[in-house]
Amino acid sequence: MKTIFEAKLLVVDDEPEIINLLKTILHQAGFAQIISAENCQQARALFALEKPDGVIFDVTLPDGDGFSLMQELRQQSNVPMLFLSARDEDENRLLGLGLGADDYITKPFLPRELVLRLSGILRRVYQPLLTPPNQDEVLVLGAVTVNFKSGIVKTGDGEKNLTAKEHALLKKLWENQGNIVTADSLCRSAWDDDLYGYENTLMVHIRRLREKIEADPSQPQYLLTIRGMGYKLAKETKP
Amino acid sequence: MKSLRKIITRSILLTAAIALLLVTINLSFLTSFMMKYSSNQPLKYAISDISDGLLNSDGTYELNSSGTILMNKQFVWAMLIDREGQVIWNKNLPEDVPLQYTLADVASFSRWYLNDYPVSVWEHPDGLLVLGEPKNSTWKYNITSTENTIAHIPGFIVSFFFLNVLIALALALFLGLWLYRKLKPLYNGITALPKKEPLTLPTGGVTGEVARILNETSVILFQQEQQLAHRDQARTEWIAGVSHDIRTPLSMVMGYASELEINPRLPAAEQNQARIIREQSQRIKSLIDDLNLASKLEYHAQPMELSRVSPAALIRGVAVNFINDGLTVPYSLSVDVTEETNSPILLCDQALLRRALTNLIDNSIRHNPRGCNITLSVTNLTTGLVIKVSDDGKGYPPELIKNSGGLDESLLLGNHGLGLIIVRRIMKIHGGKVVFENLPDGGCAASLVFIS
Repeated sequence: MKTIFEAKLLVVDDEPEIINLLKTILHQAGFAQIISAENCQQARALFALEKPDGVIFDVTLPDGDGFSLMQELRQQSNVPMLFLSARDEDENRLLGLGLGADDYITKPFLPRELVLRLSGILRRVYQPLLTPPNQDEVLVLGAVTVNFKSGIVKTGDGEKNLTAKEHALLKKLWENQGNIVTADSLCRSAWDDDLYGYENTLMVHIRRLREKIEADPSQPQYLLTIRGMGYKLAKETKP
Repeated sequence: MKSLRKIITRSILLTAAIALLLVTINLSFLTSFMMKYSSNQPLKYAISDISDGLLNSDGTYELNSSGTILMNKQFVWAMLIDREGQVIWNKNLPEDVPLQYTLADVASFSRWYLNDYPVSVWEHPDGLLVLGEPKNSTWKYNITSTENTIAHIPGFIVSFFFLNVLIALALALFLGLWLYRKLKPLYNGITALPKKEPLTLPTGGVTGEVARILNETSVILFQQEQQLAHRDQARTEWIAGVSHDIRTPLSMVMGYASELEINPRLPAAEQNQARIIREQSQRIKSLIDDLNLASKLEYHAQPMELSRVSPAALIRGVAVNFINDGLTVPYSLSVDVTEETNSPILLCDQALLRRALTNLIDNSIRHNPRGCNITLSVTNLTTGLVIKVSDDGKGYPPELIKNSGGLDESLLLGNHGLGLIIVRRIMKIHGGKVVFENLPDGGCAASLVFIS
C-alpha cells in the first residue's frame, strides 16, 4: 500500500442500495478496492478471505447485529472499523465506540463527511507505515521555526528552548492552527485539569510563549487572544 | 407526618380546653346557686327584730305590727318560753305543740325540729322566743367542722380544679394518641398516593373501611400510571422507529444529491438543484433528530448524565465551535463571563445543555438573515445560575414572549422546527426554565435559569 486509497475496504450493509451508494461515493473519492457483504456470515467469510484494510458496518443486519460482528472481527484484527448506522441514540454510539470501533457515523450522512472521517482514520493508522518515520514536526511562523521533536524555537537571533508546558500549549494550538482553542482545552492539554484556578498561570505561559515566537510580544501576529474564549494560532502572517 | 401530629396536638389541646371550660362553668354555676339560695334563709336580724317587737306591758306580751309583718313573712306560729320552760306567750300555736319544755327538749328542737315543725329560736329578755314554720317547708342541717378543715377549703377547691384539668388533659392525651395511632397508617397511605404505587394498608379496626378505599384508589392510580408510561414509551418507540426507517432512504437522497452537486458533467443550474435537494434532506435529518430528542425529553426516555461543570467553559466551548465551524460576517459571537463562573458550579447534562445553547444560537442566526451580534453570558445570582443568549437582531414575535411561560408549546414551534421546544424541555428536566424576552434597545435574549 503506497497511499491510503489503495486500502481494501469491506462494506457490510443489508441494503443493496446503500452498498451501491457507498461504492459510488468511495470510488469517487479515489478508493479502488471495495468489497461488500449483506450479512454477518458473508462478512465473516470475506474478512477471512480478503483481509480488508478497513471495514464499514451497519448495526442492523439480518442474521445478527453489527456490534457483535465487529467485536468478533476486532479480536482477529486491528484494522480500522467504523459504524454507519440508522440508530442514532447516544447509547448506541457509545456502545459502538466502547467496543473498539474507530468511529460511529449516523445515517443519513454527507458523502464528504464519510470520506473525510474514513480517510482520517486510515491515515492515522497507515500513514506512519507509509511515510518515512524521521519526518520532523515543524511549525513555521514567518522568520520563526518551531521544532516540536526537539522543542527548539529558532529565530533570527538564535535558539530558545520550550518548557514542557509551553510545548504542550503550542502543540495544542498548532494542531488546531487557524481555529480558536478554548482556554479550557489548553489547560487540559498542559495541566490535565480544569481552567478554574489556572487562569493567571495560563496567561503567564502564553506571555512567555509570545516572547519566544513573536517578533513583538505586546502586539502578537500569530498567537492571538480571542477575548472571553481562548487563543488562536493564526495561519498566515498578516501583510 | 408533621401535619398529622399538628392535627392531633390541636385536638388534644382543644379537648383539654373544652374540659377546662366545663369545669369552670360548673363551678361558677354551683357558686351562684349557693349564693342565691342562701340569701333565702331567714336572716338572724329578722328573728332578732321579731324578738325586739315582742313587748311586755304589765305582764301581757304583745307583738307589735312590724314584728307581726316580719313574722308572717316566714313563720306560721311563735311562742315565748320562760326560764322555767313554761310557754308564757304564743301566737297561732298549733295544738300538737306542747306548752311545757325541759332543758333537753329545748336543746333538741333548737337544733332540729319541734314535732316536725322546723323552728328557729332567739333569746328574749324574758326567756326564749321560738318561731315555727309549716311542717316540711325547710330542711335543717347542721355542719360541724374543725377549724383546720375550714382553713383547707380554698386549697381543696383549687386542687379539685387542677385535678379536673389534669384528668381532662390525660384523657384528651390518651384519646389523641389512640387516634394518632389509628390515623397514622391512613396518613402514610395518603401521602404515599402521589408515588402511584399500590398500597397495602391493614383493613381491620375503626379505620379499616377508609384504608380499604385507599388501597383500591392506589391500585387504580398505579394502573393508570402504568398505562400512561406504557403509552409514552410506545409513542417514543414509535417515533424512534419511524425516524430509523426514514434514515436509510434519506441517506440515498442525500448521498446521490451530494454526488450530483459536484458532478462536473452537469450544468450549473442542475448542480444548484441538486444542492437544494441535499440541503433540504439535511433539514429533514435535523428535524428527525429534533423530533426524536423532543419526544425522549418529554417522556423521560432521555438518560441524564449529570456532572459538575464550569458554566463559563461550557459557553466558551459552544461559542468556539460555532466560530471554528465558520461563523463569519455579518454574524459575530462573543462571550461574557466572570472568573468566578470558571469554577465547576453547574450540575447538568453537558451534552444536552450544549444542544440547548446551539439551538438558541441557531435560532438567532436563522431569524436574522441580515446578521446580528450574539452574546453568551453567565450570571451567578443568589437564586441560581443564569446562562443568557442574547442578540441585537429583530427580536422574538410578541406572542412568543406572552406565552413562553405557559404550557402552550405550539407557539414555540413557530415555523422553524423544534429548536426552542427542545431548549424548554432540556431546561425542564434540569429543574429550571427558559425565559424569552425582547430587549429594550432591540434584539432579544433567552435566559436559561437554573434554580439553586
